[in-house]
Amino acid sequence: MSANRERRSAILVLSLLPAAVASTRVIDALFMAAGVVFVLMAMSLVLPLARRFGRAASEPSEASTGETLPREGSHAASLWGALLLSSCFTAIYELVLNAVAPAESSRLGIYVPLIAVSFLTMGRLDALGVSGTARRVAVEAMRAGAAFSGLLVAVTLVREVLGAGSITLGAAVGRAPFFRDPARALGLAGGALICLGYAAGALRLGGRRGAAKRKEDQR
Amino acid sequence: MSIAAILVTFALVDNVVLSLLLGVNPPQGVPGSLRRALGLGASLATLACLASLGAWGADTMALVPLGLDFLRTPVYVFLIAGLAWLLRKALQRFAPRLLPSVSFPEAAVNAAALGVVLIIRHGSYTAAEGLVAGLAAGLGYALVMAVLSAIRLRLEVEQVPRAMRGLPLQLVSAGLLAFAFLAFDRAFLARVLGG
Amino acid sequence: MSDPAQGGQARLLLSPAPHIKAASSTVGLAWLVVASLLPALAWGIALFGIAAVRVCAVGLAAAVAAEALTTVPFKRFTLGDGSAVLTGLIVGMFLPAGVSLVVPAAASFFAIVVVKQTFGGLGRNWMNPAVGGVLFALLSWNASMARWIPLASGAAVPPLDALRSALAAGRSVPGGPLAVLNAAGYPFSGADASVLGWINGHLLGFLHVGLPTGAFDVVSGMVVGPIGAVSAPLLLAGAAFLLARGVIRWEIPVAYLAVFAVLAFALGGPATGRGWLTGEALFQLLSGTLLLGAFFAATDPVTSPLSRAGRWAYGTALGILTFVMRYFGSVGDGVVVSLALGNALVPLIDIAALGALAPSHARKAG
Repeated sequence: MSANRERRSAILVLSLLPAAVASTRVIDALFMAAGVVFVLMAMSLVLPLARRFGRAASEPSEASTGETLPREGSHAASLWGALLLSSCFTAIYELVLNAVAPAESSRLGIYVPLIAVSFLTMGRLDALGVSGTARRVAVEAMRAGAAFSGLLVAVTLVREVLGAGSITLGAAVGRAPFFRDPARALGLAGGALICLGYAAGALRLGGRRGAAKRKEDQR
Repeated sequence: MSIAAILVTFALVDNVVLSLLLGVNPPQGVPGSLRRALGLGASLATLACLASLGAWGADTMALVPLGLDFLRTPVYVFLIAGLAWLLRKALQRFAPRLLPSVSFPEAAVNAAALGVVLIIRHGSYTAAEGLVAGLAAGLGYALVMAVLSAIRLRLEVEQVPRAMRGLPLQLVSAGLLAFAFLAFDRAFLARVLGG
Repeated sequence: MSDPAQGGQARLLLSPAPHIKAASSTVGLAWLVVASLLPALAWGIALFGIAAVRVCAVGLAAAVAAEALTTVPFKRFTLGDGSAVLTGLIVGMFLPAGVSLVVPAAASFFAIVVVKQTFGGLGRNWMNPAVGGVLFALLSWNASMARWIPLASGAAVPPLDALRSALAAGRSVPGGPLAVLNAAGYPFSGADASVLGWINGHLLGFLHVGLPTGAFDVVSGMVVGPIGAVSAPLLLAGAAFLLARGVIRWEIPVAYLAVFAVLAFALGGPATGRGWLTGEALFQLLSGTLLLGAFFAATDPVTSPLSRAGRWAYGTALGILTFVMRYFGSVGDGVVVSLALGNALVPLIDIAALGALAPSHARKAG
């Protein structure tokens, strides 16, 4: 698997960590994913506009992804700008969530504001803020958002079914208890870490198989 | 809460890495050397301490009186980012030899600091207590990172399954460690301090 | 930001470990440990009956199945080394006999698949598989982990638990844990009465001292508890066998138990509201899963330090942790969780003691 793909997988999985510990039920995962997708999409729409007024480096930087905050140089303005945007949009989502589902909001606690510094919103910076057309930026954001949501919901589904014997989709929609004696440890932070570890392994396996297949097709 | 209670709570019970699940750096995950682990812990401790002071200041002087609670997230984020930037400048100026080990800014450390500060402000501690909490968080972070670094170093010498090499196994290891750390829970805290 | 310290640190010296014993092969070791555990297991089955057989059988079967599932499709056949059987056995022995069968199955499965095979199989894990599995069970099925099978005498909970509740209820009676238990009305067996009656009457009578009621039960292991952990004499016998054969090293259990005993004696009193130096060390040593853990889990060569000094440190750390967890913690009886934390410290201990970490072939030979 190429180094770049590795890095992006790592960023994806690591950005899931805080979201996963907050999401012990499927409904939590849905709200967290909604928040992340919202912030990502909003940023992807606004950043290219902002870029026109700011200075941005012309070379796409492949080398630094985990890095987020201002260093010297032309990245600085776009990084601070992105930080501003992500925190503002996160604040907006917080307000909306508080209004629409206050119980959920207090249940998710500090993890909603943490979306502002999620590796996903920050890590996408190089692609988003620096290079590419507005369309490419939006597509990247959608891909990242979809990957995040899919993986988060999948992991949370496993954790809730095996760990609590239910699937909770909302206050009104039914809780269906399946297993009589579920493994509660999966709903704990350790369970999230272990599941995400396997998810990371699965991603790498998938990536490797995909690369092998591509190589084969090329021959 | 007493000082001891704060220390144990933020370092062990609500450990940054194992309970809050923050502070793990992309792309390599856990640091690869003990020195770096301790350096990261020191970074977090400093940043969290200063940030909690700043947040306390912001809350008491501006956000709450003016009813601007909803601005909390952007304010805190910028506070932390700004502090990280300042700390880097200070290190560059006064102690450049520390830089490889103790680095600002680090995405994960900033996120961790934000998380810690949010918890501190949620719990309405005084400014001084917030300082202790930030320090405790950094200590707990350093401890866990040191343990996970050593585990990582051991795993690097072994022939582990290729798909799981590196980050996946670090996460599974962290999960197992998190299970063990559940020994430090609120009941434990109550008994240790209650006597 | 890349980490310059990573590449530059010469933390890894793949030096051949200086203390590999060429003699013992790994294949024999696990089976020897299995053999040494059988007497204690038999005692547990005798006390707790068919329920105990079911729990252990399920644990064993699940472990073997898990190992087969994770090796056979990859064309590796490791069941012969006995480690899966050993893990399944130990998991079963840590559990109460009345536990629902999901628990040993899941615990063994977790132990083999997550704690061992995910890391690459025997020798490459840093946490002892049985410890990881039992910890997982403790956290997942907390209530089920206290389903004890009562004895004929009517005792329904382990003496340790009964002692804790009696002390918590404030019924502190001078004279040590057995006095407290007797005052609280804890039922001991008829055998205890007759044996002690004979001893006190015939042997100790002229000294004007007497063993308190319950002493025989506690020492011989006729008490409620985890299936394989109740009989101290049989566990010690098994451990002696392993020590004599050189399968396990004595530094860890000795350090572990000694440090724990000293702490329990010195500080156990204040921890439960009594004076200093009034703790009940012997009772604590014989209670719960401490002996099982100290001799059969802490000594696992794969998950313990490589150097002698490291082993002393590890044993000491375990003793301290178990003391803290038993008196102040709430996860089981403190042993499993201390073992898990101790396992996590082993790589650090190795780095401190040796400046290096050696690969699995250095560990398996013990």
